Amino acid sequence: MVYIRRNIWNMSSDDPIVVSYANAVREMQNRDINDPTSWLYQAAIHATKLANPLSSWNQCRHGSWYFISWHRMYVYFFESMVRQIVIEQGGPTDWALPYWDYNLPGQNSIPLPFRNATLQDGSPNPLYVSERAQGINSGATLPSTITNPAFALSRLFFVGASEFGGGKTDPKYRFWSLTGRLEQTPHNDIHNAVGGPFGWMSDPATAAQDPIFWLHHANIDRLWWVWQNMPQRANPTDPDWLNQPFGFINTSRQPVQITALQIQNIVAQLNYDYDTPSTTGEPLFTPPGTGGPNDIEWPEPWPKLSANRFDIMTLEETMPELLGATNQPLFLAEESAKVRLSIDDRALRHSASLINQGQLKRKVFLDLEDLDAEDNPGSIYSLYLNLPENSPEDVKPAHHIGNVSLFGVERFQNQNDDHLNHTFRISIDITDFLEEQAADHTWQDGENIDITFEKQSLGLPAQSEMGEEAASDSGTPDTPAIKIGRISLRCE
Amino acid sequence: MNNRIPILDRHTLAGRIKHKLRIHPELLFQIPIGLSLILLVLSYLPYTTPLTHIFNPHMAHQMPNLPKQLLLQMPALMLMTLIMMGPAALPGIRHAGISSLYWRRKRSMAEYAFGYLSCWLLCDVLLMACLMEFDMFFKKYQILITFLVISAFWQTSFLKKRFMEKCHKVTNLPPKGYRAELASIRFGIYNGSACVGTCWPLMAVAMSFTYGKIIFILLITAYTTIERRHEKPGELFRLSGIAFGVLSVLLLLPALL
Repeated sequence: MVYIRRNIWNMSSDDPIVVSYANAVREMQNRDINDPTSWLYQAAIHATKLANPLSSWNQCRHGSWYFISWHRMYVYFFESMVRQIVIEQGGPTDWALPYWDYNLPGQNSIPLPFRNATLQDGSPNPLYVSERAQGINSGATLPSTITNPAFALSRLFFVGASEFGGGKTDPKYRFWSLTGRLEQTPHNDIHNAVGGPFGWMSDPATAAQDPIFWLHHANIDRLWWVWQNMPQRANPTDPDWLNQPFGFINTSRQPVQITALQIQNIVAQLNYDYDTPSTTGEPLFTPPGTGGPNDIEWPEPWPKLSANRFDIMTLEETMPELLGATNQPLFLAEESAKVRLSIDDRALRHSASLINQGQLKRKVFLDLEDLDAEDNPGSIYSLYLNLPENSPEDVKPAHHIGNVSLFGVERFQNQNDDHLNHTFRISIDITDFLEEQAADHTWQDGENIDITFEKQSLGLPAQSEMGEEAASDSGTPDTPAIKIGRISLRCE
Repeated sequence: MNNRIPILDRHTLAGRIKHKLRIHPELLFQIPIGLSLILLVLSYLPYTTPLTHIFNPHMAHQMPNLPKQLLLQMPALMLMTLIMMGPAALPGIRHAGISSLYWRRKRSMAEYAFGYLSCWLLCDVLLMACLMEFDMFFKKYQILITFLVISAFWQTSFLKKRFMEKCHKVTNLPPKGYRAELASIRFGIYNGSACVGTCWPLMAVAMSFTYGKIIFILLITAYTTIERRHEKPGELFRLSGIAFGVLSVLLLLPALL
């Protein structure tokens, strides 16, 4: 039997799937933490702050090529456990975890069953969590800059810090800094947007305690399935990724191991599917570089495209060439900030020469290095490339290259994690953006690149609709600034 | 019209070396390390004075002028520093290179290496001075066993782990100008001082050996290189701590019996 995961927004609050989920969550919350089927135990498998954790806890993988596969496994075993409880309680035998597709119009706010503290009968709502960003439980809307998976889905490759799935890392590490594009947006951004500065979803150690976490991750899993089935995409074939086992607890409360090789096909191997394959029902994205012109007039002295990029993609070893960088760290605390990156002329000419020799792939990356904050501030900044001053809103999407949010930053500072000191960084492939801007002459100055950061805010409902949240509002708390150690441009 | 420059021929030796040096610029710094090692080994050939004898604190104290003695030992100390700690500096040198514009890459790596090795040289001079003083009051095996015991505890200590984290920490380097020069040196000093904190007892052990010093220099060089490159060295710390403890007991037994 294939279980179908359905869109939560297409269900009413009294849909048997929703009601059964709420009842199962309540039941799990009432179980002892040492019971593998309890709510806290399941959440702790992801991460926990509890002292003396069990060996099966604190297992999540982030900032790594294991992020997507580990979370597919995690959600799969959780769903099986919930289904068993649902059936025990007399619920639907075909129960499957719903997903929250925040990118669909009108569905970019937390689903209705998760908003109210109490149910109609006055009993506590197990799907409600007060530890969420202000306005979320009142229906605040999430901006499309953080919900849109188009950039992630447009990446043709899985492996790499600026590719779909993330960079290759050692499986021992739970938090690394080779975050893939799907993990960054929408995954990390949604965590921050729902959790805010102090909510559960913003901290990996508490995130899975919020019942919306599982619907969010079902959507991330769905997006991976969408990507897998798009043309020219393929999951890694590296045995290190395919054969790496991860441990979970099955419905019989027994430890089991599973590898990525066993979860490639959700229908054939895991017996579930989604009710809709894409977020819009339309083709998601035209892969960059497949139909575009090859003779773009780049602003001088940018190197011309001297070869088909895909011909030289297979260079076995490369050394990136720095083209320019900021001199001082940038602190993001205000609503917006702008940085001008000067491109070093000599480095640029050297890179052009290496491209012509076939030693570089002519890919340009924007790196945000050594990102840090005292705690995760819960804020999300959008990055715009060469955005003209006072641009109207409809111009911005063409310049939007990605987001900055620091979900998991606390783990990088955890001195007791036996992790060596590595820093949080974000890497974005901007080659296609620059080509587009060069093609339509919106980027004229080839020696400078302007990066604009704009804080993203939730679309808050009117005060009258915010109820308790508005009453408890005592002003916006000071959130810690995000430090970006260096912003650099490199050619690879 | 195809106006591309011919692709670098990686089938020739020259092409391979050029390509290797471009993607691993830190390899350039292996040359002085290798030369130092060769010099050390050659000094053990018949009719030569082993270099390790020069920086032997047990012999040095026979000359009364300590500063002069230290000064005389500087070349040998620099050699030992380069051999023992040079390989551990290579990841940092590489980071300095990768993080710099190509035309100042070598300079940036050299500045890092200067900062890093300066910290070690200072540590070596201080250790040598201390050993010379100790040698006047204690027997050789007592000094060696003391440092072995200190190493055993240090390897398993909380401080060792903290220093090691700083040893791995990388900093952001400005692209050019005086800020870039200063930042490269500062980065080297930051990593170098952390590495001194991590490995100073091992250096002291290497200096305290009277016989077979070259073997211990090579062993400790191999160990520190592995330790520096090991992503999760906690287990290595524990194992080496036990090894140092066992060695100190083995050396102590004959004295007790």
